[in-house]
Amino acid sequence: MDIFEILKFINNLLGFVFGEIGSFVTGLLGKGAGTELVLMILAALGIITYGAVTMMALTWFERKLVARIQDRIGPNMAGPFGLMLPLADGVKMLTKEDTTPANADRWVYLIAPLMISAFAMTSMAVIPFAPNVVGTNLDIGAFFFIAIGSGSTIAILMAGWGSNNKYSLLGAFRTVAQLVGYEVPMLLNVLPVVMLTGSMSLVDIINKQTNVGDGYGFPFILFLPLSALVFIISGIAETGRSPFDLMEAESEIVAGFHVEYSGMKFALFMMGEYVNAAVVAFMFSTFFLGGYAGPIFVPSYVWFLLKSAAVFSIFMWLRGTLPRVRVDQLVNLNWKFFVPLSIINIIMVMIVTKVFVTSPIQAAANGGILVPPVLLMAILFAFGGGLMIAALSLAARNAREMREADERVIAERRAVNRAFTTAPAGK
Amino acid sequence: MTYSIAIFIALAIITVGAAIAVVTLRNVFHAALMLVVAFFGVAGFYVLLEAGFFAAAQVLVYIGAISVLLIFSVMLTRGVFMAQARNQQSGYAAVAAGVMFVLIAALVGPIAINWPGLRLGNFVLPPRVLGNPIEFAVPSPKAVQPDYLTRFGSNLVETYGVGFLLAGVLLLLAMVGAIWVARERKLMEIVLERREMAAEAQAESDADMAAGVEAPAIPAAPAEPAAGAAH
Repeated sequence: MDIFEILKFINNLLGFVFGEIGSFVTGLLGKGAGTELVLMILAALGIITYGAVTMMALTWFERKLVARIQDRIGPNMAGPFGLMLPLADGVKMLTKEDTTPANADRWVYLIAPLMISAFAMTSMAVIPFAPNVVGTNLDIGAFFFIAIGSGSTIAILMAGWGSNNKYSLLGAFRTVAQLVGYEVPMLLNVLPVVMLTGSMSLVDIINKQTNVGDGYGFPFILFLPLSALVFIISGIAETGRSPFDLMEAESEIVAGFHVEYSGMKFALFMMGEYVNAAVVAFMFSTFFLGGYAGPIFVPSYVWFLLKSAAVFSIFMWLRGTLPRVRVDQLVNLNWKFFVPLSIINIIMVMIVTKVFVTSPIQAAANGGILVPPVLLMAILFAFGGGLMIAALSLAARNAREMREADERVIAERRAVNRAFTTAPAGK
Repeated sequence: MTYSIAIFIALAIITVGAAIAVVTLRNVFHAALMLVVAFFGVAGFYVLLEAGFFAAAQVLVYIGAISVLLIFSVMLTRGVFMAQARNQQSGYAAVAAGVMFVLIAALVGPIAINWPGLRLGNFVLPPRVLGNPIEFAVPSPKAVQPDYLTRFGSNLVETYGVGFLLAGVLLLLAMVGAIWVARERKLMEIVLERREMAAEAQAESDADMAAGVEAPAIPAAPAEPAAGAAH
C-alpha cells in the first residue's frame, strides 16, 4: 500500500463510512424501495444531528471570539475552555418554564419555531460536505437553497403575529422588509456562478472549480469578486445577523419576533438562526471558494469545514465591530445599491463569457475568442474589480455630497439662530 | 398501489383540505396561512411530476413573496387586530373557486390528458442518498441536467418571446409606478400641494355655493358653517 492509497482512504473516509452504513442497512433489510426509504430517513437524521451539533459548536465559537474581540475572556468555567457551555445551555433551556401568552394565537405560536428550524435544516440537504457525501445532489441545488431560505420569512411572520405582542409584530414587519429585499441581490449573485458553471447542482459547481474534467481550476471568488462581496453581505442580512439584526434589535424592540418565547422554543429559534448562518457560510464556500476541493492535500471534509469556519469568522468579526444599521440605510443599501450593481454585474459577466470562451466545442458552435481559463479569470476579475471600485467611489461621492448638504443646512440654521439671538443685544 | 399514487393521494388531501380551509376558516389570518399550505401541496405535485425547478420556483414566488404580501394586507385590514376578524365572504369565494375550477378544467383538461409528464405509474424514488465511496478524485457523478429546463428556457425566449417581453415591461412599469408613489419629497412640496388642493376644493365649493345661491330652491345656510370650518 503506497502513500497515495492511504491519502485516498483518508480523503474518502466520510463517504466510505456512510457507504458502509448504507450497505449494512441494505444487507439487513434486503434491496427494495422500503430500504431506500429507511436509508433516506437515516440520512435525514444524520443531517439534522449535524445541524444541531453545528449550532452548539457555533454558539461556543461565537461567544469565545466575540469576547476576544471585545477584550474579554468569554466562557471558561464549564469544562476546558468553556467547551461544555452549549450542553449547560441546553440543560438550562430544558429546565425553564415553558410559557404561552394567554392571548396568543395558540397553534400559530406553537408551530412557528418548528417551522424556522425545519426550513433551516432542509436547506442543509443539498450541501456537499465531501465527495459523495451530500444529502441529495439536486439538479437545482443553488435555486433550492434560495427558495427554502425564502420560506423562513413566513415562519417569522407567524411567530410575530402569534405572540400577540406589539414588539413581536414590529420585529416581524422589519424582518419581512429585510428578508424579501435581500433575497433579490442574493439570487442575482448566485446567477453569475450558475452561468459560469452551466449547472445549478452544487456538486457540479464545485467540480467546475477544480482541475478535473472541464473545470477551470480556480475558485470562483477570483472570477467574480464583486458577486462574492455582495453575496456575503446580503447573506448576513438574510440571516439577520449583526450589523443587520434589526428584527431582534434588543435596544429598540426588546427581542423582536421571539420576545414571547421561552425554554426549548427559544432554543429552536436560536438553532434556526445559527443553522441558517452556517448554511450561508457553507454556501459561500461552495459557490466562491471551491467547496471541499483544495490546492494541497487536506482531507476534503476538513477543507470544507475550514473554509466555512473562515467565512463564519468574518460574520462574527463584523458582529463584534460594527454598529447596527438604521432601517432606511438597510433598505437603501439593498434597493439603490446592491440590486442595480448586481444587474450590471450579470450583464457584464454575460457579455464577457460570450466573447471569451474556454471550451473549443462552444467556440466552434457559437463563435467567440478561445482563451485559457486563467485569461478568462483575469478578464472577469479586472472587469468585476473595476465595476466594484467605480460603484464604491460613486457611493462614497454621494455620501459625501449628502453629508455636505446636511452640514450646509446646519450652518444656515446656526447663522439664523445667531442673528435672532444677537440682534436684540445689539440694539 | 404504487408509491406515487399514495404520495399523490396524500398531497391531494393536503392541498384540497387546505384550500377548503382557506374559504371556510373564520379567522382571516389563519385562512392566509392555510393558503400557504395549499401552495406547498402544489409544490409537492411539481416534485411528483419530476419538475423540481418549478417546485422551487413555486416555493420562492408563491410562499416567499406572494403569500407574504397577502398576509401583510390581511394584517393591515381593519378589524384583524380585534378578536372578531371574520371571513365574511366564504360563500362568494366558494362560488368563484367553483367557476374557476370549471374554466381551468375546460381549458387545460384536453391538454393534460395527452401530457407525457403525467404518467404517475412509473414514479421512481430519488437517486440513492449514499453514493459509491471509491473515487479518490474530487468529482462525484454529474447531476443529470434535466431536459425540461432547457425546453422551458428556449420556449420562453423563442416561442413565447413576445409574451415574456410584455410581462417584463409590465413588471418594469409596476416598479416605476411604485418608485413614483414612494418617491422622496420635501416637506415644503407636500405643504404647497396640500394648499393647492385645499384652494381648488375651496374654489369648487365657492362655485357650488354661487350656483346654490343663484338657484333659489336650495337653502345655502347649512353649507356656510361647513365651509367656515374648512378654513
